[in-house]
Amino acid sequence: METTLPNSIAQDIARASFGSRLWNFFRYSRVFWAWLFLAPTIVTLLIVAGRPLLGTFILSFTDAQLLTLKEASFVGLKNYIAVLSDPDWWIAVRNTVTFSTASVVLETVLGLAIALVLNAEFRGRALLRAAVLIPWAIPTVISAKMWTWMYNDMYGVVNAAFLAFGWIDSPVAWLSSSDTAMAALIAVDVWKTTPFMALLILAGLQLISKDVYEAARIDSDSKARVFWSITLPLLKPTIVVAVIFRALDALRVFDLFYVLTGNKVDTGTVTIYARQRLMEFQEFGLGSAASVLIFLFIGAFTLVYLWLSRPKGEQA
Amino acid sequence: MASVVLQNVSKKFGKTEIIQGLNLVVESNQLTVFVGPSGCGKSTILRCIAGLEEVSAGEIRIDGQLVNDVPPFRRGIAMVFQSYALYPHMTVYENMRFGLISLKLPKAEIEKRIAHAAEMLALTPYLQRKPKQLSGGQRQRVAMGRALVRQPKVFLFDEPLSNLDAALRTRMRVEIARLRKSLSATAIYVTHDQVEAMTLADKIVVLRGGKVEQEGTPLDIYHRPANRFVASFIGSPAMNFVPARLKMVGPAGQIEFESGSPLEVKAPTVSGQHEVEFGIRPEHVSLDTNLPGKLRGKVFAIEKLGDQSLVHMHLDGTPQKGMDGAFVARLPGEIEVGSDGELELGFDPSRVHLFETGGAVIPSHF
Ligand SMILES: Nc1ncnc2c1ncn2[C@@H]1O[C@H](COP(=O)(O)OP(=O)(O)OP(=O)(O)O)[C@@H](O)[C@H]1O
Ligand SMILES: [Mg+2]
Repeated sequence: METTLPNSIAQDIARASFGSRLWNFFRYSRVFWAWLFLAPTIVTLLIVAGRPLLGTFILSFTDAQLLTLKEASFVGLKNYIAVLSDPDWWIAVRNTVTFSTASVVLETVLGLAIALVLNAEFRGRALLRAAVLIPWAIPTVISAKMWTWMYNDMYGVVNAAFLAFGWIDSPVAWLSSSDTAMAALIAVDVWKTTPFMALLILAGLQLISKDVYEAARIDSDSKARVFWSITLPLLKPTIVVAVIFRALDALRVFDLFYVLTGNKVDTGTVTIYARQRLMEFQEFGLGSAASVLIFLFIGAFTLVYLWLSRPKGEQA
Repeated sequence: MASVVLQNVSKKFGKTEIIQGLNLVVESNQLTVFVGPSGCGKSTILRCIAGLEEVSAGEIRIDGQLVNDVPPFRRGIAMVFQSYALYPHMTVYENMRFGLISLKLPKAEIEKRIAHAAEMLALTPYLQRKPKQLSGGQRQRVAMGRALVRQPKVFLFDEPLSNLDAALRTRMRVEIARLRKSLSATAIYVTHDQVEAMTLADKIVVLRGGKVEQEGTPLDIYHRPANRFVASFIGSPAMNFVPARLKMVGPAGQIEFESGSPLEVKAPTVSGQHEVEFGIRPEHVSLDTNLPGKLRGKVFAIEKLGDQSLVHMHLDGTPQKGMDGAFVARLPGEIEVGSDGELELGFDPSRVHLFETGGAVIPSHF
């Protein structure tokens, strides 16, 4: 038997079922909940990172000065051309690249060596593992200040030691001369950050199963061959990540240079350059353009690096 | 000829001595199986032979040569690990080649050996794959292949099949048996699996607490266990033990127990009256009550496996609770018992093993 419902009730049911359908959609949609939980982070990031980034990006196309921020006018790519044709910028780029390459390479090699030692079993290993981390645990500004004193040409310990060993005849002003400043800065960074590298690589080493090493001991009695054919390839994913972390840090380096060598152009990095334009010369447009260039430069580096180090010949 | 000889071998980890004064001979061209409860030191012994662990005392000889100070690579051994321990970043082909390059073999010989092993283990289609692109069984075969190509003096297997499911394990077990025939190699094989031990072994070594309890052919150990431990360890379900009294008058005597009529026995090495246990395997009792041996009890569970039933019962005169001391009978077909659960079983007394309370076997015949 068929009955027809009064219109109003039929509408109620239609509405209710639409409402519950909608409710069910939200209830069971994992994507919806994922976005919901991510929302606070996204909003915060947009406010504290996105907004200033966008501001910098916009400023970089204007002739803004600190005192005339309001009446800045659009100047197109003029700032970028100015930065890119400034010899000081290129000196800064060269310094940054030299510093990053040298420090990251040294830190990786030394970090790997230390990690291999710390991975071996011996008495007092736990203590040594903790001790190794000390340089990294000290805030950069403090260790930078400490090294400023150590490098001091009058009463620094570095000169005292080098003189005592007879490696130099007279005290050297390590940080003032552009010949030695870069090496001195790299040394500080290596001292400070190698522990971090060592720890990351040690974590990677411990992921390699012991069995694999035992199989290798049965298959070969050359420690070097086991290192090159087993340890290093299995460590590669860890090293790739460690290097990218370190490289990003090194390319953005600021505090070390700022504390140790101040604002000197010939030993400055791109971040020092940008800060100088922004804060000292108060050329907001120019400084912003430099900042955007640094951003693009590091972004491009990251992409190229990840592309170069992608796993090869792996089928999904 | 002896291939691996262990003389007075001891191994300590820190202060705990895991293996004490072990003497062991592994014959050439035989497959010797180590069995024993978990933690008894099977892997440790194998690893000492491989050179992955240093012995604390004693001597290990492989093919007559003292190898105590020889690194694993130079001992002429190949090992198959329970976890397979394949090199994860290398293809199947590279996994097998790694050890061959160390042996400084000519390229053509390397190719030949790998091709041959791959053929034998049906790995040819997978040579260019990485371990993670293989199934468990295929990885296992790669691990075997990596050992095979080295053509070692001794193969060492540490529970090589224990990570496989039951069906695959059976298949690989048959596969290993087949390979063994065609290779006539010397091998030491550690396993938990009774069936593997019984079917593959030329010789079984039963270990407990780092000591050899008994060694012999599988059937030797099955039929003539040297003590209660070996008797209970080999065979599944395990042997039943029934508390009894042995009363000797001269060389002949009687075994009395509560759940059946006394058994006549000849045990020339003992005299007087003793508390003993007699052991009988679940498969050696039957429903035929005309047999000279008789046992009565109350059934509390029956596991029907189709072709056979495992009947669990409490014998008369034993505690009527729990699994401890329960008696298991393996009977053919599907068994039904009456509602009172009473069941009488018969057995052939020549199947009985007699043990002192200390566990040692009492030489006897019925
Ligand atoms: N590196 C080690 N340090 C300290 N003790 C160890 C070490 N390796 C093994 N042991 C101990 O030695 C004993 C024997 O271990 P082993 O691995 O040889 O047993 P197993 O017979 O192979 O056992 P399973 O059948 O469970 O594999 C165990 O009690 C174990 O705890
Ligand atoms: Mg083991």
